[in-house]
Amino acid sequence: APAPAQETEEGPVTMEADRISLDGNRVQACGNVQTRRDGTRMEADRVTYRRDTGWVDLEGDIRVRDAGYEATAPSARLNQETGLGEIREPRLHLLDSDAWILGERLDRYAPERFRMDSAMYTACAPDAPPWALRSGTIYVNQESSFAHHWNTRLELAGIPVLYTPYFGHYTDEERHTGFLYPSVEFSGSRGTDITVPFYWNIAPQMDATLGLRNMTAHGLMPQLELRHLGKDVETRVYGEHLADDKATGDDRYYYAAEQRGTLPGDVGYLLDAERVSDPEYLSLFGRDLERGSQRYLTSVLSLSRGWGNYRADASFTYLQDLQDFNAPDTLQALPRLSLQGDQPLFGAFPGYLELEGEYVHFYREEGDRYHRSFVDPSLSLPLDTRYGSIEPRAGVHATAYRRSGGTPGTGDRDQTRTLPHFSLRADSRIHRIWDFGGGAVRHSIEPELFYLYIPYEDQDDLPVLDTKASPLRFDDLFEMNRFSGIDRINDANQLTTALTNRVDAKRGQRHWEAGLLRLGQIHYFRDRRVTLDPGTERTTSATSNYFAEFGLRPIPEVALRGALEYDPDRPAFALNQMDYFQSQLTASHPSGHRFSARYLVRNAFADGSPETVTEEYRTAAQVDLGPSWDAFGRYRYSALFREPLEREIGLDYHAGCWGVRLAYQDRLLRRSEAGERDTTVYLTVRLRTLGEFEFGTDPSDLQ
Amino acid sequence: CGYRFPGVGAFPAGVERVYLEAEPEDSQLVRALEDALNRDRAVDLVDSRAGAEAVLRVEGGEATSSAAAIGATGEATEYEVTLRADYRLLRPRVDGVAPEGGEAPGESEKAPEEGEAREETDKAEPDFEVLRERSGLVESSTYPYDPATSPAAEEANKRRAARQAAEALAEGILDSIKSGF
Amino acid sequence: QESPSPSTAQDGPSREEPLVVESDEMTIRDADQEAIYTGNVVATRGDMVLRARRVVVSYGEEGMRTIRAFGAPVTLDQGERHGEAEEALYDAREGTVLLTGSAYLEEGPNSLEGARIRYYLDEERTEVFSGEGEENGRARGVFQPGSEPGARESREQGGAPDDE
Repeated sequence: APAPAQETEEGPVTMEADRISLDGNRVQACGNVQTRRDGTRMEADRVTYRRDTGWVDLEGDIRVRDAGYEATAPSARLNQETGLGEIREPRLHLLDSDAWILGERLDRYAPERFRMDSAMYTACAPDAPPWALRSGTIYVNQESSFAHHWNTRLELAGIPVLYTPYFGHYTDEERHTGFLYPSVEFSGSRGTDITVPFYWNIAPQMDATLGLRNMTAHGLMPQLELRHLGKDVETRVYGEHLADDKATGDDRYYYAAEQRGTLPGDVGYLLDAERVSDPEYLSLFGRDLERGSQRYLTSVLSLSRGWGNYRADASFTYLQDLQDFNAPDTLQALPRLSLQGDQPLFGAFPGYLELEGEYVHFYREEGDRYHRSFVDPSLSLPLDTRYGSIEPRAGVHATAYRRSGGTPGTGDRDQTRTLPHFSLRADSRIHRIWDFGGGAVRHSIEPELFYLYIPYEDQDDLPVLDTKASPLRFDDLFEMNRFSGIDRINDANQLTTALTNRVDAKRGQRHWEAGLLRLGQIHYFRDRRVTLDPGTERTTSATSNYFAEFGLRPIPEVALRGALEYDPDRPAFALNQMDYFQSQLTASHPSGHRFSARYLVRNAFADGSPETVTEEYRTAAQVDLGPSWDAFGRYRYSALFREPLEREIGLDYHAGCWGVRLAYQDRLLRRSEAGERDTTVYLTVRLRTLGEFEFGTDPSDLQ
Repeated sequence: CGYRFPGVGAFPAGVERVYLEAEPEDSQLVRALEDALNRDRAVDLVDSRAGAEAVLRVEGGEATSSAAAIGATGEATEYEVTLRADYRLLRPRVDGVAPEGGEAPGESEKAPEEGEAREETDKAEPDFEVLRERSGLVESSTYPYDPATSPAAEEANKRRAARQAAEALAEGILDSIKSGF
Repeated sequence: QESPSPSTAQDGPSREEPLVVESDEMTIRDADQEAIYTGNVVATRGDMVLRARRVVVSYGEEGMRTIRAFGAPVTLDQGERHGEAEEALYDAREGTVLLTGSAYLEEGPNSLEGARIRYYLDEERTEVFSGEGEENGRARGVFQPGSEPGARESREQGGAPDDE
């Protein structure tokens, strides 16, 4: 007999029938019998209920309705008190995912768990389903809505297609990360590339995906992903390993780990690490042009804690250089400790004492190592009035360097730099609102000024560790330092002027920014003498280039956005002659059409003559061709070296419980010698509830 | 001609203490919002939901970076940092008229003022009233990627672009709340 | 006469118990060997008490043969059992009570409902019938687990209820 009946103090058993007879502990009911106990409802032609043991025997046209499923069967035997028991030849309908399990016998061996022998699972209508999983045994855990199939075969239109000793999947429609789809790819560079994932739900908080990826041109690549959802810390570990690649003979791998959570003492914790075996790995084995284009991989472990207005961070960052592969002289910040505070001051000057401080140990295997620390206390007195706000700020930036290790004989050389800085920010705003039926439009005009003064100090002998002089962006107009790191702090006596026109619209509950035009420029009152490399000349121009940001969004569904940098001394007669121009149009239609297009160009003017650094067109579209057809495409072209970077065209057919996607992709591979490409045909069959699948293009990349 | 100085604007009436609830909990946007809220004299940022009249719930806010342009050898030549976020300012619903004696001792029951526009109740959270909400906020900036410089400098540039985008997004969120538009 | 020990109580009133009937009016019809009681009739026999608007008791050589009670409604109480119906028929020879017309029978937390309910006084047997056709006349039962006869003893002995 099944497990001993546990006593559960719950509601009474109610029964309704054409005829009920009691005989001691035995209740017999016949004729359209309906019996109910708490959440479980049962119907049958004849029911025998043993009140002492709680066992209920049902015969004839059974229907059992329980939490999460409804089963019809010829006969069943269930215990009202424990909920355990069995249903013979059930047709089970999983309600939350509209999936079906038909089998010889359902054995409910524990609350929220049941087992089905020689059963068939499908998410389609159960009679002659387009696809089904026929398994020796299916275990279903209703609590985590997960199904384990043992010695199962996948049948498409009745034809066995795939046999596997084990296959697991979620039975609900929630989005479950990490679950790959059995995918079949025919790639020029990878050969026939088939990945079959096995999904294993180990424990309520732990699940894993084991995958076997077989590429005829490279070999067998096992993949493992483990996920753990702890109370305070979530963990994901991923690894794929290709032992002696047929093409190169090397061992190639990619490993990644992510952990995020809160440690005791309310310390925020984040680990995000990844490592790859060679620079071309991600481009070759990934399916994404951008993923393969990264120049370095960042691995960081960071702890952070806040106290009221103060926050402290400790982070260990390791950068794997993919261009100069694993170069031993790559500087690592092991660790970086930083403190930030914003202490309000009351009394005579209602202002803030701001404190920024940082210590970094720049480590590398070969080459000089440095300890660098800086502290930057500053006082700011913000004043807000109806007509605008003003915020003067003054402070001192003190930096200290200590070289250690690396080249012998030169010993520890300490260097310091102390620079006062003063800035004044002032902005105002006027606006006007127009109301019209069901909505309103507001136009606001916001002038902004930002004055910055930093004296000059010769920094030519300071080391350059994490500093770079990259061309300005609009936001840089309001920054204290135009260099990316603090190894160089620009001398400044300059005034930034900016004007923003913004149109906000609202209709019903929907708010959006209907228009934006921001213009900005820096006026220099003195030459800039601090440069990154001692050799370069000081810059003497009286004003910076014009910077603009623009946006137009007449209706929420259609949005144009962009930014540009224009040099007044070099009149540009075409967009691609500007220093920088970028514009992006996105449009979507409720029926499912989506479109985006983007143009980006950047020119450098080393010695006056324009030299195009980047010029690229990009477009992507998804067209809804009716209830079950979707077409999508993507095209990315580099006008710089006149070659398509990526072309993709695909078709999705989805019919309720199954779907198939066919896509053709041609993209540039990452190779030391330029110009090698990969063309791949993707064939993916989607079986609803058997995994996660995003039809059409990923909406976010169309934004 | 109809243009006027609105001033800095203010949080909706009755909101003096705000609790910031973000998913993910820590991001550049969360830090930018904390700094801005700490600086706002009219509102206190509190660190427990119980003591707050309003909850600022932010979803997103993590900077993602992608290659905005790609060179002939398949390496990125321009990087783009993007921040997306949605926000809702919610006030825990106080049901109907404040209970007389009431089983909530000591808590001052403030029925929402008449004049306040009846925001539609939040379907997902019946026990909250939506005071302000905006979705699909985006800030992004691109910067060139110079093969000659070190990864450490590129990483510093990425952190700086992410901080700037977070500060712009935080300013956009607070302005949208305080200007009530 | 001292009441029987609890162990035999389940058998219901034995047939020798005297029947005491009180009512506003009573008429005896020897020809039909019937006694008719009308108006607030209360008939008691052993621990069974019947209340009705009108009761007809019929006799045979061996003594009382049937009691038919009519009321709006008839109520019947016996120890923990309480029953109600439009009509009640007690058949002495078979030792059964038949309740008809929206019949209701309650025993502790358990209850039965139906067009007709017949229960056997000397045994633990009851039958509930639904009416032909009328929808609400379906037979209905509510059983509270752990309240079935003999449940307390078997639980005290700690034995898990025997399994079929």
